[in-house]
Amino acid sequence: MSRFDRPAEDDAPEQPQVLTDRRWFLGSVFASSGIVAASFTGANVDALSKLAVLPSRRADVSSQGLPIQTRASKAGVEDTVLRANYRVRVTGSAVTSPLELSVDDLRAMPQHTAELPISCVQGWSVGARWTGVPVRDVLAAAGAVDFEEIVVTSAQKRLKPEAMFTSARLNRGHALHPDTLLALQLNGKTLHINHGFPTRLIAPSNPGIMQTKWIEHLEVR
Amino acid sequence: MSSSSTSRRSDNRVLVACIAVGVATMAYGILGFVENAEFTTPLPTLRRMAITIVVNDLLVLPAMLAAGALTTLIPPHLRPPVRAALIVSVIVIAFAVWGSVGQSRDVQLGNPTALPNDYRESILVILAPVWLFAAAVTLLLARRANVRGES
Repeated sequence: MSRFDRPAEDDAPEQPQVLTDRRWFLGSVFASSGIVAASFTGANVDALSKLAVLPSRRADVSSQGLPIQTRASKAGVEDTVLRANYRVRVTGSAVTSPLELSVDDLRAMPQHTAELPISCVQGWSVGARWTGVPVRDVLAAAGAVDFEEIVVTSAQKRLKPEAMFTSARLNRGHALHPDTLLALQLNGKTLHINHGFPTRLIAPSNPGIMQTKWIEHLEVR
Repeated sequence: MSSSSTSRRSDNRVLVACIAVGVATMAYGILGFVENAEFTTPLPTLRRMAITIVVNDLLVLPAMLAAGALTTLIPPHLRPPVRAALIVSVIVIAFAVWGSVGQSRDVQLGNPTALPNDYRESILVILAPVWLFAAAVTLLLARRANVRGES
């Protein structure tokens, strides 16, 4: 007999009480799953937002049409990003012309608009209209042609786990996608500091935690 | 060869295949975890996992066992609806607490978009019908048992 074979007693008919317990247990699992699923679906679908009674964010409670996951003051970035000499640095082994871009430099570059969601791993997802500079245009300006990936780093130094909140990695295909932006505007208005002013990363198919806010460095390698 | 032994051999193959897929998936995850140490921060992550295991084994699990043991005070034929309502309650409260406690401390203080719900009210709104249903079924079962006992 193999170690996985069940003993012969298993062939005996199960007791009615055991079957009843099992049915109730399965019913409770289905009921719990249904309640939680309905509540978190409400956090992702505008029309069902009234069902979102459990999640920590709802689409209909927002700033600039989008819930805020982490505030600038708590991330400790206000002093850095509001300075007049704030720059986004573009450096790395694949860069031939390192750049230091001010907010005005970014605004002067060709802008692109994309409709993309912030999909938070905490269970909420809200779509928005983003306008900014395609990352591929920044790479072209920096002379980065032959590269494997980009590490996008935030000015955020506080809050743990730092590595998860403060940087994101884009592979080559992702970085060159036309909708991958250094976003400057959200839903037609200048990005609020709580949403990542002066600029944040927005890229298709990126989890919210990797849509890095308050960008200060792109390392192309 | 009986059909039941053929069926068991087939079950075993499925079980072995599932174990192989599971082990391979875990190995892939561990490899990615180690190879991307710059982003996965192995030490803090392992510390969090260790804390989770300790809290689960020393706190959550004994509490669940104690709650289960307490339900044995209820007559066996009336236990299922009470246990089912308890399971739903624990899961709903866990999600509500995860949202409210985990997000409100320190990090989210003053965030106008965080915690948009009254989570106590949410728990009440969800669990009141669950417990009303459980109470109704329990009463019905108790009544049926009484009728059977009398006949």
